[in-house]
Amino acid sequence: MDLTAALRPVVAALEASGTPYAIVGSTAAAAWGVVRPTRDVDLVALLSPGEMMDSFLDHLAGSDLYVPFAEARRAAQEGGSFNIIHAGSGGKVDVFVGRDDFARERLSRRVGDEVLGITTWVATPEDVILAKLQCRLASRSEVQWRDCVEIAATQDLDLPYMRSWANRLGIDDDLQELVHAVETG
Amino acid sequence: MKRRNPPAVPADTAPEAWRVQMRAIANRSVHDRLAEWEAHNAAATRSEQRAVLRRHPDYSDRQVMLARARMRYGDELVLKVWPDDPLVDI
Repeated sequence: MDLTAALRPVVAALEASGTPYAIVGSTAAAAWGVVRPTRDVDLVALLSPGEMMDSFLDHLAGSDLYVPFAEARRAAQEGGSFNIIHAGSGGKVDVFVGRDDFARERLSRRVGDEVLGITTWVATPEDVILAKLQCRLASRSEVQWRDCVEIAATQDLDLPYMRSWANRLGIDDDLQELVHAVETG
Repeated sequence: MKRRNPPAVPADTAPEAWRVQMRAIANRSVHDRLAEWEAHNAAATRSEQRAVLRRHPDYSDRQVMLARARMRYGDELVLKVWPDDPLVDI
């Protein structure tokens, strides 16, 4: 599964279409402290329907990628995600279409870095933690919690920013517990 | 505070050892961490490939890739991405 072969054309298409995006999830977590194998690369992208989506898809057309055009257009209209897969190797990129304030905020704070030899954008450690805490609200995933602990224990975090968003995302208690756990660990 | 989550320090790790580990991780550059992540992914890939080949020593590289894709992504997605290939045994 060649993640580079999948990610490189997707990043190029996002850049060429002027779409704000950032790598999130476990790949972003690896940048900030948690290193474990991942099966794919997750992106949040502010792909809006119309010209931007058309341009993004045009740049992917004819490549060695599986791109579900209808699903992608639907995600841009209604929210959600779609998979892009490099047919030659099976490498997969999951694109989550951001539509809410938190997605826009995450992308306004993204940082430039090199991932898999590709110059790209990565979500900040604060936003990786917030997204993981939000994601595990229902599942209470211990793996996600462990990711958050290790990022929080190894990065200087902007806690006022995180508390503000934790309140809006309904994860105040988990963030408070995370900070307490790391401080007393 | 009523705890709803596991403690920061894993049960199999002494608190001082955990702090040493966290300091070591904190001192590494983003570049180094991502390089390690790439190495982990490559190792996981090789391990999965060997596992498929142990079960199916006659498989070609493409069949190994399709078997891994079937394990990771499920039949529905595999049939969409590779509609001309039969589903291989995993």
